[in-house]
Amino acid sequence: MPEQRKNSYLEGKNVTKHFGGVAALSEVTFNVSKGELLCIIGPNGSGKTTLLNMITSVSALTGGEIWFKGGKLHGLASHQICKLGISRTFQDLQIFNDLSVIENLMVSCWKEHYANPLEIMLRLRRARKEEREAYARGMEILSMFELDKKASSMPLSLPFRERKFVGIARALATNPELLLLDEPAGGLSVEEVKELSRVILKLHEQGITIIFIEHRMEMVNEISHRVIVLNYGRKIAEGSFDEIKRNQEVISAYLG
Amino acid sequence: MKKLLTGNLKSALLAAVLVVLVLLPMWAGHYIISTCIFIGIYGMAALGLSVLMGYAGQVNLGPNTFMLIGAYTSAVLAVDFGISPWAGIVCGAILTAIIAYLIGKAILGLHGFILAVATACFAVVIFRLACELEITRGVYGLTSIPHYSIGSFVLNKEIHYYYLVLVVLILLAIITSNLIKSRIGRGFIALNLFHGGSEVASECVGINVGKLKVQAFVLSAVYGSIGGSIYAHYTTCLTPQPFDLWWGLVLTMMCTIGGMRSVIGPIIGSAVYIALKEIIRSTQSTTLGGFETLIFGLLFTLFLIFMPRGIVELPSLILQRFSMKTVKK
Repeated sequence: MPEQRKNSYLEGKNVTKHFGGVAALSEVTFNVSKGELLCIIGPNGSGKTTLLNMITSVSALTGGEIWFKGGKLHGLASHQICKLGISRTFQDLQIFNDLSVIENLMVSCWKEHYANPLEIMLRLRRARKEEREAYARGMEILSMFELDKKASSMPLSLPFRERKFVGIARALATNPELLLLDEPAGGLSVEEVKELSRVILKLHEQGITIIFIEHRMEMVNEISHRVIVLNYGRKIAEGSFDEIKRNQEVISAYLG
Repeated sequence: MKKLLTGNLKSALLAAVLVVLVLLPMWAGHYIISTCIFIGIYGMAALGLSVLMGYAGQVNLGPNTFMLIGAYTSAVLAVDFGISPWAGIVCGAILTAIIAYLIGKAILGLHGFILAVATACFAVVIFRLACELEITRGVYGLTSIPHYSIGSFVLNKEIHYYYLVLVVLILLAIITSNLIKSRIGRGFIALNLFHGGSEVASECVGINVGKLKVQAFVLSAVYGSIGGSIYAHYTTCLTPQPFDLWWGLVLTMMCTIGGMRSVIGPIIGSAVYIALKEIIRSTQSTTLGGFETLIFGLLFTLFLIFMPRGIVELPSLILQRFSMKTVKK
């Protein structure tokens, strides 16, 4: 088993989460390879977001194990997991509304800081350099989403589509190698979903491994390499989109 | 362009205020200078509280506790051990930082109302200790606390303390301003649940939320401690009374009245509170005198209702009203 962990990129074994008497996830086992574009689908309440929460340690596992590049993820704090190169977005965005768009990205460059609090308080050379670098990195990412002109806007003044992109941009500012997107297309129009798909594929081309939760099947079909289907906290199917759409259990539980 | 103008206007206004403050002792009397010294001392503690409450969103109902610790550490070291008051400021700040770190570690996992109660309880404990311990001389307090001195030059006049407080306050304001414009300041705002922040999202972008909260708590405590130390050596006598729970609320009031999401706000709040207090005190023989607490309680409530972001919000409110009128016309 340890050898298997050495070779695996992200691996979950019997991942279980109970909220009181309710089993949100029951013994879900999964493997993700480096460079993969994996989609998790399933009906509402099937445990998709809970699985992302387990990977990012937003809530603790009730049972099971999660490993990333041979190291344990379970038991680590979320900020430590971010430092390992795993970043995420949220279904409800959770943008920092009192920070401007660029500040939302600059605050996410946290793991790459080097100036100590004293240097910051006295605004010494290293602190100023750190600020300039964080700003430049933030602007570079924003320009990817054509949001650089809105860098100084407050998030609540932006349309929903742009706030969604700010969420993704903020996750990218942490410089992740594994990106978890929680329903990135939720609330977007058909055209906007196409734009989002292009962005996700572009990020994937840059070498970022991506796991995303989605309900929009046209997007899942278009961009995912592999799909995992959850239902009532259990994994009921896994495979390519063509395989799972023919799976009788998936059809009756979700695709209808 | 508008931003540039606003920025220039702000800088010019700030420079003008600084010039007035530097030149103030030339025409102001003893009473005004003494009042300004207290405004500055409480302004330091209120500024620290604004970092903790306004930016990091962590409630502390007993911020004056750290003033007490700073004041007594510095005073006891000077009176009982003959240690220089300058070293006393540093020792007070270090001891306060250690205590704040330990308390912060223990209570900053709590949120909202429960955190407020925990900080108030801590304030009561420290206050009772100051009242009971032999080293603090209990309710009788410490007397003959020496003034600061530089070589043989003793800072024993109002004007000396005025400039000392002014310099320290400006330094603290610059430090705070640098801090809130940095990643640490942005981190504070990111985790502030009262202002659109999220602790979960902060953690997920790599911020160690627990550590950052403790840093805000320690920093806020050190500001209070510095103010407390200067208070002790300026007044030269020290009793626990100015550090009871009411004064904790007063510091919160100062922050709220001035505006706790700004550097200048808590200092304005301190000025408004101390100035009003002096006005009420001057009418001690009239009907107003006996209603000090009531007046401040009412004022605080009105500010919370009508101007929750404090006096610093006033210019933008006036501008808003003005532009609305122009649009109507």
